[in-house]
Amino acid sequence: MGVILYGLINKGLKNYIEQTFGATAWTAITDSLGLQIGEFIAMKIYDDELTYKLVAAASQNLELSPAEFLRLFGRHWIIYTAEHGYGQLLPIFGRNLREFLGNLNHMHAHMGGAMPGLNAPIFTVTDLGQTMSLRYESKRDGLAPMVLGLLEGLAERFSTQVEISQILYRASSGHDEFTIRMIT
Amino acid sequence: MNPTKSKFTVNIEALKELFPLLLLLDHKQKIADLGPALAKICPAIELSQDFSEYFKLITPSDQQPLASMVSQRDRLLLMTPKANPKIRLRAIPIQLEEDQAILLLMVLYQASPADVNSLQLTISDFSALDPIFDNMMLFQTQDMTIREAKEINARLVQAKQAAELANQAKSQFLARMSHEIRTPMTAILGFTEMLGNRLSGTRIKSRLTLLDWLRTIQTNGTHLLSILDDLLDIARIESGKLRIVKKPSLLTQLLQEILEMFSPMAQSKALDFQIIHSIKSTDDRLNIDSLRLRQVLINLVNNAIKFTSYGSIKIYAEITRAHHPLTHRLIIKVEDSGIGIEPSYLEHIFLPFEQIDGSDTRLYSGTGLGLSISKQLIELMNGQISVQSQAGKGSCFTVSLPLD
Repeated sequence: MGVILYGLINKGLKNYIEQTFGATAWTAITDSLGLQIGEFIAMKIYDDELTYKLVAAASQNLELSPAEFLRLFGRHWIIYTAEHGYGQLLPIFGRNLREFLGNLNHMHAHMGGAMPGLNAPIFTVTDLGQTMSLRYESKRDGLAPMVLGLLEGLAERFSTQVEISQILYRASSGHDEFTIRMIT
Repeated sequence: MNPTKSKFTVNIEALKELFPLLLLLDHKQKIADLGPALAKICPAIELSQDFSEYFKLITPSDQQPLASMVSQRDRLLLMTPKANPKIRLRAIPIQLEEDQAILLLMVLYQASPADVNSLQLTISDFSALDPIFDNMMLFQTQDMTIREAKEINARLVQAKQAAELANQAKSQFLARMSHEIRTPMTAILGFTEMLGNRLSGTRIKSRLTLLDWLRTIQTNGTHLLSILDDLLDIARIESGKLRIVKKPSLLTQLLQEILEMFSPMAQSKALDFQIIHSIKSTDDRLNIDSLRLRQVLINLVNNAIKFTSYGSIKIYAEITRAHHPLTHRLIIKVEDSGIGIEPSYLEHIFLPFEQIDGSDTRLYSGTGLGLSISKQLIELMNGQISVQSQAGKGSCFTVSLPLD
């Protein structure tokens, strides 16, 4: 059994594939896994192994690398959560990208009250003026590309032009780290 | 041992960081200081003014002196009619012993995310101990769960209604089919009996008459067989026993077969029947279930000719390619200039056991299962079938199939 995960993320995954590649693409992906999934329930707890399997099958079916697929899904996640009830909460955690990134851990801490056992990642942000560094640590492996997509999605939401690069990788450094350079 | 009172000094600046909605009153209950978030949402508040100038107690009653509320450790609910009439504040008053000052530690009362956004506040404007965000997350999640439950419930109700309607349609269909099967059966039995009588009788009718009777028996038998084929197909699909078998097949060959099959029928009605395609020879070999696609095209073209008295029947075929392999598709359109379909019937035409004309005296015979079988076959191939039609002007059925 992997780490527990709320169905909301699987709903978002399904929504992304159906909206971008069509309902038949989602059916082809679940068929390739031999799964009859139906609808995910946002607050139901699922084993995250299912999500990993779906990501692997999606990347294979859509001929995208898992990293590219996760990056695109990360971007969509910002739009999806905003459209599905959390849109009004996002500006409270920051009126701009810098402020929002600084409050990511606070946001997850408060979400933990509504979603027990959330297993949220930990972000450490260092503000270096024009550039920010973001250290990402998670119990889950392989999701750094999704963080890259999330950062891109957030930058878009806050209408901020940025250059994002991953400078450290979990495999070699024990954690992932990104730099976000604001383009003025 | 006597308890000793520890002496400490309150650092208001540090407290203002911990409680950004703090208010400090001096011994005369004049405003001595206020937290940054309170200053942000009530910019009109000025220092040295009376507490009562800006704040009005909702509970407890404002008849009581503030000092007595402090001693009773009352939980206050305040409003600020002059500074910001929209907000309510929950406050706990604390007496600072050394100078009789009163400290009011406050939080926003029952504020929604929309309220917080309209006040231009962010998380840093709130005390870390303030449960407002836990509550917001909880309410938001509850709201999402309720919406999700409503959606699922609505889908279930819709599915139940659809199942009931389908059941009803199935019953009507059975009654209609009994009639449909009985008519050719009566003809077959009648003519067989007549033939028997004639053959055993002394006077033999002319050879041509007998051949006519035999043709009538054959036509009715064939019609009966097509009805039974449709019924068996729908039963196989519904029981999940029909399997799609894909293998490399030449699409243009399939289209040519359809053209040859229906040309005589189209010519007999003087209809212009054409196939127009842009399939390159390099793209011709497709991994499809040609047998089932053929069945669908036969049904669509047969209907097109049946419901068209003059004009044309055209089949268009093309392959559309996009960035992702899953979006490469084979598109086939069957367009006619026939009687068309009334808008109110359009949503029903692919449903099984429903015919546009469900009466016993229908102009066009058949099970009415053809389009439903076609739709289900196309869906088994992960494709879609749709129709655009205008009554009196014709119809266009579009089949879209994903390509491997």
